[in-house]
Amino acid sequence: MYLHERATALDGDSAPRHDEQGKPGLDPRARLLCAAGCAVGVSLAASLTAAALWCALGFTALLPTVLGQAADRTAGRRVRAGLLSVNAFMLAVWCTLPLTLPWPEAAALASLLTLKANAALFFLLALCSGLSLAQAASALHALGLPPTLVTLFLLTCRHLHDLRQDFAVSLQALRLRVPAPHWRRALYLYACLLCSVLVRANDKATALRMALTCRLSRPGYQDRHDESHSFTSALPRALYGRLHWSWRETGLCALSLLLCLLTALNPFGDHLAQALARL
Amino acid sequence: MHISEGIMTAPVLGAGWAVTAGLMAFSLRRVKDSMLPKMAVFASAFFLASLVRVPIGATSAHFALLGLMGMTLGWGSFPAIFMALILQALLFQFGGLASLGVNACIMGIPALLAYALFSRAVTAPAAPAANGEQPVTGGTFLRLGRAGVAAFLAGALPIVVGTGFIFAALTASHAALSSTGGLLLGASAPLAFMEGLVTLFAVGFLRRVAPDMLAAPAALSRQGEKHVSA
Repeated sequence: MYLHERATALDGDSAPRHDEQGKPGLDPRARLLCAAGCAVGVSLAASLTAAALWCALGFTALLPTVLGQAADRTAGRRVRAGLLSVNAFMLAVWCTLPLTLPWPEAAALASLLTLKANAALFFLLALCSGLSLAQAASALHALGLPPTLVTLFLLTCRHLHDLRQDFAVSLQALRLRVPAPHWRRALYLYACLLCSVLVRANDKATALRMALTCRLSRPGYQDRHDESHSFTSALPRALYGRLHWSWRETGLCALSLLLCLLTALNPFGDHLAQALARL
Repeated sequence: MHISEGIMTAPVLGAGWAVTAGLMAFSLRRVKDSMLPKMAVFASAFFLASLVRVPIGATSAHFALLGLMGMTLGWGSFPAIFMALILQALLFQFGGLASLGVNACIMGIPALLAYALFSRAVTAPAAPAANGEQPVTGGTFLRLGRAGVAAFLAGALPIVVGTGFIFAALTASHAALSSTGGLLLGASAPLAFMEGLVTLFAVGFLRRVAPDMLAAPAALSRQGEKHVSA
């Protein structure tokens, strides 16, 4: 299952420059930084021309990823789900904007927002869709995220698969016992089911935490008050993996920064909007 | 309940990140290491709740569980929600990276608000019956009394407040998007009602089965220091 593979693909010891298919990959820090930089660049786009250019660039960046993962149904499902969620919201925007603006201006603003939203999604899919959870944790740790948050990220990934499985099994059992409950009873049963799964998961998580803080050299369990044995340092160093930054990553980050600056300055004007106005 | 990337302007994104950074620093100082497993479990639940649709009558819905997270994690709900949003962005490309600050405020601040306003009433002991023998039995509202009302509001209010934040963020980016924000605000009423009911039932369950999972309200010690236990 997709989440199972994601949760267990801890490739801290494998060659860090290769992705899950064994092909040379970018440093995960560069991927996150470029994705964030492109998102900022897209948000700075104030003209249709700039938004269209960003959208075209994002689509071009996404093409190799989509074609490379053409046989992977999960990847295709992910792209479709992303496009559906973004464009469903944009549909609501298209329907409501004419209530506040005259139609030509509403169409122009809706087009701008649609191009920007899809451009941001394309870049996120192109740069972050192949990232494993261990790579993401390594990158977040290296980029300066507090150790508490990185530990929280890793523990969340750890519990995600178990919780999803427990919840799916309990929900299935409930549907077999009570096939079509009244809506109020359905809410009550769902709430109790959810809490029972959470209580069990919390007990398992507490046991895991005790196991992680146990030191073989010093039998017993340490807590946060003993700074020499903090819980966050109990996670194995190998989990954070080895990251390699090269000129390729520097070039890519510099390119995204340059594009952001060009978008902010907007030296070329809005040719697309002028062309559409002439039509 | 989050806004996609590319809709909001750079000043709104910057303001969102500034508020998120401040609240994150404030929350992390109040989080103990022993809380991390519970925060991870609830962050996973928050992540999964956005994916699982629950059939309710002729339709289905997925719940945000913001009130429940505030009631159980206290100050830890903000980092937990932030982590879940990062996971959504990286695993499923929902939301985004630049809009993460604003989305964290949209969901995290209502959870903190629910904790600050209602945790004391939710964790208060059950009132005895008029004859002083057994607590009131019957439906959840009757049994919980004031705690039940607080639990319902703790579930419903974050949805309304969060949608209000969405309205504010959209309108601050483009004034013409006020109609879209207004539509979302109107549509949030039935969702808030159902979320309130789910939180009420969940709190009733936890009070009976695992009352220690509910976060204790913030209290001032005799020395004047603020400390939170959850």
